[in-house]
Amino acid sequence: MKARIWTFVLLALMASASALAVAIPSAGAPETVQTNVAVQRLFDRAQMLFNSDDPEGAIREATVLVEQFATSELVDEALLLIANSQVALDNEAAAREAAERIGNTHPRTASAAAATVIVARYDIDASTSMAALRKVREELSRLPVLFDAATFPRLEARSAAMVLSGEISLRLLEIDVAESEYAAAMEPGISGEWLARAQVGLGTALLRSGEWVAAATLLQRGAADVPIARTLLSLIHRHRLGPAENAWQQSRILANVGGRLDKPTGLGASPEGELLIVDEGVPFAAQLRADGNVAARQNPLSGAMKPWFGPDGVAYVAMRRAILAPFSRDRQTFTTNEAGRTDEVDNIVSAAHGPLGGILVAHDGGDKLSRFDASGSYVSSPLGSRRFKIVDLDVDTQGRFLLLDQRNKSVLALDTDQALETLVTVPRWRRPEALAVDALGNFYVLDRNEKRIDAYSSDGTSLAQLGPSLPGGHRLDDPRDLAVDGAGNIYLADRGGSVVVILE
Amino acid sequence: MRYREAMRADRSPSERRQLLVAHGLMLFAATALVFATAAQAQQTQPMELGAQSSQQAGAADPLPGIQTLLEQGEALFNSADQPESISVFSDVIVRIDAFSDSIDAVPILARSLSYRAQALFNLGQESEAEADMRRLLQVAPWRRLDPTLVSPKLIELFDALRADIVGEIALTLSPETARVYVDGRQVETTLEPIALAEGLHTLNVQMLGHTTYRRDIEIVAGELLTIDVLLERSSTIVTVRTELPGAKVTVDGRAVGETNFENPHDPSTSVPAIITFDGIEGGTHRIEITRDGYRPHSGEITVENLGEYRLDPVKLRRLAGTVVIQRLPAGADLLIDDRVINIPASSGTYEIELAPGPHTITVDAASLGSFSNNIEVMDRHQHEVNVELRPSVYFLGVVGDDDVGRASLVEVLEPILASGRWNQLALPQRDADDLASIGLQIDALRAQARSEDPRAGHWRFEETQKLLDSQAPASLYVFAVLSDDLVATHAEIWAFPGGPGPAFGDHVRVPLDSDESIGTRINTELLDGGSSFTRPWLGASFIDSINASGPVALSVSPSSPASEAGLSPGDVVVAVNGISVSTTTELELALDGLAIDAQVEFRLTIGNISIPLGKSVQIVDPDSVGSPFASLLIAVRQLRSAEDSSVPEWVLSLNEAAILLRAGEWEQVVRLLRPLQVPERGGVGASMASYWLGLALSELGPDYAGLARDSFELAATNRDGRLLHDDGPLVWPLARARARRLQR
Repeated sequence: MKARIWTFVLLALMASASALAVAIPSAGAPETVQTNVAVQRLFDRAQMLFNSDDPEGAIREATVLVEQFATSELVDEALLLIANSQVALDNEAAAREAAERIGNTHPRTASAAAATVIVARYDIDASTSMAALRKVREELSRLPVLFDAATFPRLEARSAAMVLSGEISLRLLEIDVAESEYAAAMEPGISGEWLARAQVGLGTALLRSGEWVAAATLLQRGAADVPIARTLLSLIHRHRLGPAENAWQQSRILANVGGRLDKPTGLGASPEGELLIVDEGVPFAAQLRADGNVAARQNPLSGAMKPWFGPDGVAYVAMRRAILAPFSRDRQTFTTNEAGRTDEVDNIVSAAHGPLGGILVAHDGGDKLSRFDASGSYVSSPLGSRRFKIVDLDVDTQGRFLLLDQRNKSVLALDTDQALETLVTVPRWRRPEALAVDALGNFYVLDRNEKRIDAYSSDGTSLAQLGPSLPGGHRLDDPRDLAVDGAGNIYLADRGGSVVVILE
Repeated sequence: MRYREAMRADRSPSERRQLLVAHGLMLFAATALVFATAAQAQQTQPMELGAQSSQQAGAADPLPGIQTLLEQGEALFNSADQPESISVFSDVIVRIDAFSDSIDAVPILARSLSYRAQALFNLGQESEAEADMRRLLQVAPWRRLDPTLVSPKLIELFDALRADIVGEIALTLSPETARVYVDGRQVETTLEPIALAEGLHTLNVQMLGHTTYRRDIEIVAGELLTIDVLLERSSTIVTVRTELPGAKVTVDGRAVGETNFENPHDPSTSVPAIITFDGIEGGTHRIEITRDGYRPHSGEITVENLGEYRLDPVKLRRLAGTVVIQRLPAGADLLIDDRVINIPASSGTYEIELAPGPHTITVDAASLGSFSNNIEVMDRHQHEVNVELRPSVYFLGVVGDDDVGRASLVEVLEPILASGRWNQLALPQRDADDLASIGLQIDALRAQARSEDPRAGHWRFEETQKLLDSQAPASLYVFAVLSDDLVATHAEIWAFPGGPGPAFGDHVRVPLDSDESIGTRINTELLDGGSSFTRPWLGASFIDSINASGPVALSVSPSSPASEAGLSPGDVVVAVNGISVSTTTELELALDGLAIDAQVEFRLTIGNISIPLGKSVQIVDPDSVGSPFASLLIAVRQLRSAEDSSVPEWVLSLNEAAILLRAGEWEQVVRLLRPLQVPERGGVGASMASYWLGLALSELGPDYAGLARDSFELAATNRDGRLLHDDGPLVWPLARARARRLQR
């Protein structure tokens, strides 16, 4: 999914740069007509190869152009073609090198603007801190100044830079900044993917500030090009436009779950509708795509609990002493360091990644909660001396961690400034076991003993109660975990029934 | 003289237009003939009614060619080749015989005979000379030879002949002014006796209101006959005077003749035409005076026998109808039957009297367009003419040397430009050099087309517009550039507006060898701007949801047709007018093309509702590619000049602002929108104007950032404000975001 968007972006940027270069003649050294024809043919050939999914061929032809016609006015575009081809080949270093070369040799060209965006994209992927993201945004903010609309009309790289700035701002939870970046990206004459991303971005930002009608109109305009918009619209439909009691009208058993289910105990869902399933009976972990097909499967896998998708789209599960990316087998262990005392983190029950890669881990059976940075270094124990038992946690759209405290029968919100807020306390809960939050900030709590799901809005207002009999007739037997996807569908792992149930 | 000089700027637009229309707009190939003819076509004086009837052309020559022949003979007679003149005079004499009944023939015959006689005499042919002189005295017995010019010998011969042929009568007339006729021809009555050829003659003396004297007389050569003539009063005399000659007079239905100018003409009178007649009995009579093109006059006169009467002078009134020309644009030229009428600068309504019959009213308002209407004027009727300008389009030509491509393009373009709401001014005759001379360089145009930049706003035609505006004013200029000079596969068709205003170009690329209907595209993308300033209004927006079987109503505007019909947010649409819809795209498709007031049947998952579509204003999207901005600008100008209240001023101004935004004319946008009064309302209104004002201000640079922010913040206060139309995108989220960006 991600790779596909990335490629599209590159194509769009390249087309834009190419169009502009023809319109604005550069003051290169005089060349014969024959040479110009040869250069143009070489370039056209390289472009054709790139468009035909032959990035190696494109690099080969473009390199000839760059080396043999160093004074040609197409050199910057050829270098950009090389950079884009290296991106397609996933050669980050080579792509960066080509992009940076354009910046050095042809700084005032549309190609240089496109190259800046390429570098920024890598920098965003590599950022592991708020400071790093801010730095990338700062670099991107220079692009509209250096490549102003009067000199470079219809420069897609400028809109791209502002869209990326908006996306960074969203991750930094700077909603106002994100809104303004997205709006500015909607330049006159801009169309296609970047306009759609700007619209969806602005819609997402408005959704964060509760402006769901305005958000929905923008999401709808971008929905054809940005799939996540469609799921958000569906969520808005479910929770804002439909009657609350009818938010879920039917339930069904998920047919294809990547293998035979025995004792499903863990579920995770991405906004795009991807699903993670953990079964302690078989035992295995599987990842399903939004279309229901199996994307990955790890079997056997013992001791896995409470799976989730990290912000980079990677699947994780909690193990007793570590968190594990089950399909790559990357494993991370943690050590707390409080008052000079160092302890290995053990008896993990749940964990989740924050928006910037930081990790919150509930361990010691849920009696302890520790925060680690993206590299795994201990940061703090945010709940201090308070007595609790955190059995599940998730991250909401505002970047807050929501914590399910089984001891106090509460859901807590821990914001980025470590401030703690109690969202709900429900004494009637007998054994609250799992928690999930959707893109509107609604959260869902599974009471394992009551076999019931309670749905709340982000401010803690009760929305609905479901179970043990679900709409459509399914009756929960021994539910252990729940997850909610972007469209608001609720998935339930019913260990007793050996099924995953989807509430639609 | 070059055409450009002929079309110099100090001429009025209508003068130039006349030049253009009359001569097929030979803009680039001037000839002296064009100017000469065109100059004649000008009329700077107001039309004087009736003047033409008093300016009759001279009568045709009654003796064709003979007078000229006579003069040739005279010239020869007075030259060294006098003998040569004899044959010429002989020719004249033979030819004049055919006109012997004409009174004009006598002097010519007499002169010819006189000359020939002298020439023959000089050659020694005395007997031939004598024969001529005899005949001369027969036809003109009063004729004498000038002794200073003619030889005494010939005088002697002539006088001898005269004594043999001519006798005289001496008349004593009472009254002295009576007219004398001999043999039916009037003769001058002087104190001198009247010379007549020997033989029998008829004498007739007449005078109005008197008895007539008639007598047969015999003239004896060399003798003088003395006669006293006394005429007695016998009847009444009536005199009628009219302002113009040619007025027919009847008495009791009997025609008595036409008035004519007095001879000599009396300059002191304003009624110089006269007729005097007699033969009226004593009593009361009805006199009617008529003249073509004038209202008849009638009156009564009571006379006694033998009296003299004068009717009061009559000034006949022309037959005329009143033509009231309404909605005349300020500064426009008015032409009636191709003559320029001087009108006040900003009249709005102009009234003029015109003779009955067909007339052509033409109004020429330069780049606003022109109007032409044929009317049949009736006497004493008022005719109203409402000026409805049609924009004029001037096809500059096709550039490119591929003759086949050019021909096929012209074939397609001509009928398109000559139809619809456009007045086509000229046919394509221009080539690349011609277009280059007005700033349209083929290479630059092709490069622009190759760049595939859909935002034509920065491709400008200022210089060309300026040049054409002074030389060949039109509303819209169209030209085409072939893709290639050898084998053109497609053409770029450009359109840009006449001044004043931004000179940006719209363009559309069309294939030359395809079945695709390029006419529709040219109309849609170049010519049909501003064909409507309204559109249907539903008042609801929809989203797609995975959880729904069809589009879900997201918001329903208050007091909108959708709201009135009971549509609510969350309602799911499954069919529109019987057509199943599962997405918003399908819904839009089903609604597309429906008219204002159309009744739309919505099938919802919870029942059916019927929504009568309302009416929303329509503002063009400055970001849209392929919109005909130039022709929209023309439509806005026209409506504004016509003060057509069917489109509110603020709607026109917002559309104009869209055009200016498109063209990047930020200052003009600010000047237009700042003072504009736009109603504060849900849908398109003040918030949209503020938003666009903010956009233009923010483009003007950091000095205006504060004002831009204020504008955006103002725009963000109206939560129901929308862009472009009443179902358009919400203004406030965009305005708020832009205000925030300026705060940073």
